[in-house]
Amino acid sequence: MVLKSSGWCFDIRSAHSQTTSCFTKSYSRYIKGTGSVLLVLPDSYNSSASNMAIESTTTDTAVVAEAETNDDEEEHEITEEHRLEVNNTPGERQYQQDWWQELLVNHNLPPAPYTGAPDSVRLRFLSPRELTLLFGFPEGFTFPPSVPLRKQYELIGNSLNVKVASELLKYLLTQSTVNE
Amino acid sequence: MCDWFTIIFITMHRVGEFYSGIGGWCSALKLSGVSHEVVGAFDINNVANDTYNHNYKTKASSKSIETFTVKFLNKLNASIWVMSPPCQPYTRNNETETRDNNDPRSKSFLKLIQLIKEMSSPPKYIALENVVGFEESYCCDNFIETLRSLNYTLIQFHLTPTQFGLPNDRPRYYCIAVRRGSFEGYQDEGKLLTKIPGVSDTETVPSLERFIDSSLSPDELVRYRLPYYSFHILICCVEFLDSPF
Repeated sequence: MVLKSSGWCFDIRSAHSQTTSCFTKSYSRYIKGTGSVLLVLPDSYNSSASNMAIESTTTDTAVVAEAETNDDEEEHEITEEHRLEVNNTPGERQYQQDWWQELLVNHNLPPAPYTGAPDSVRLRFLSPRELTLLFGFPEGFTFPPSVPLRKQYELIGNSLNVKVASELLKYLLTQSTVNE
Repeated sequence: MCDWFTIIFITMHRVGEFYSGIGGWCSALKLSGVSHEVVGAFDINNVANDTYNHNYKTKASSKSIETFTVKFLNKLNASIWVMSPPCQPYTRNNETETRDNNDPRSKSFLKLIQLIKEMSSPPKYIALENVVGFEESYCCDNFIETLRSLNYTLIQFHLTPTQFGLPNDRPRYYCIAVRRGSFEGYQDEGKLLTKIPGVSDTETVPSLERFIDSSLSPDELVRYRLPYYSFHILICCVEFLDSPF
């Protein structure tokens, strides 16, 4: 309900997730519908988590906190207004220090061996380099130093998936016959 | 000697890359193993061109496609055209009157379609990528009709990277076309395909872990971190969803 009235939230994925939502040119500038964010767990936790994930029966361990649309980019800039709205909502409820523990449960991952929300538990955007790899660009692909981070995200969001395109080109060039 | 020349000049495809951006199609050509040379890459975005020039041999040109002439394209003499026309005009978010062909951003694409008709020797192969929904646009109808009238056989697709083993959902419209030819094992029934004929979907998609950069320094990590107030939003979402899956 809050989801609908406030109308925005994000798609959180862990390292064990087998998919991410569509990244758009507004990734990192807007949150809703612009692409998944990564749940970063403390180093001490990661090792045990990855072992558990392999044994886990669910194939996708992602928490999808997604609203009504997926591909459509609904841009809600993080403005002062939103900040107030957001800060008001938890005020009506009790702030949960260990919110991320709940996330772990939703991920079918074991609880971390401590309580509280340590600084090392974070949500972060994927880096441009991670995105280009996810888009199938070669390892060696880089941006010149003159391109600001925001522009990098914009360019990647406007780009296409190299792997899909290459499969199509392979088919186009090898499975077609020209009658000449 | 003669054979050597034949191999080089017959199998080396000349490629024209339009709306080249950061060179997605160029990288795709490399990955596909198709012997090629990009003879022209065009984009009006200079930052995209800087990135393109930083990564590929061919230098991208900021020459506007709207200013192209038939003479220029004939001289370019590319046998493969790859393109990702600006997609804003077709997205479902754009419900205004300027949507589609009335949108100034689709002008250059309409111009390009017009020019193909006038070329002495149109490209043998064309590959186009766009957003889902493009197939419902006037521009797309125009594009498809033009290609059919010029004896192209074409296939249209909706494909997403998860089908090819990458953990990202990015459904897109694709069209591939061959002039005066046909595709092996494909009958054109005008249907949109969700698979490449003969290519089955990857069964197990690797997890995101493989793509995560473990070498990010603490400073860099801070740079990518979501702002603190975002956590409040998160709490609202997580707690109010019955089933977050």
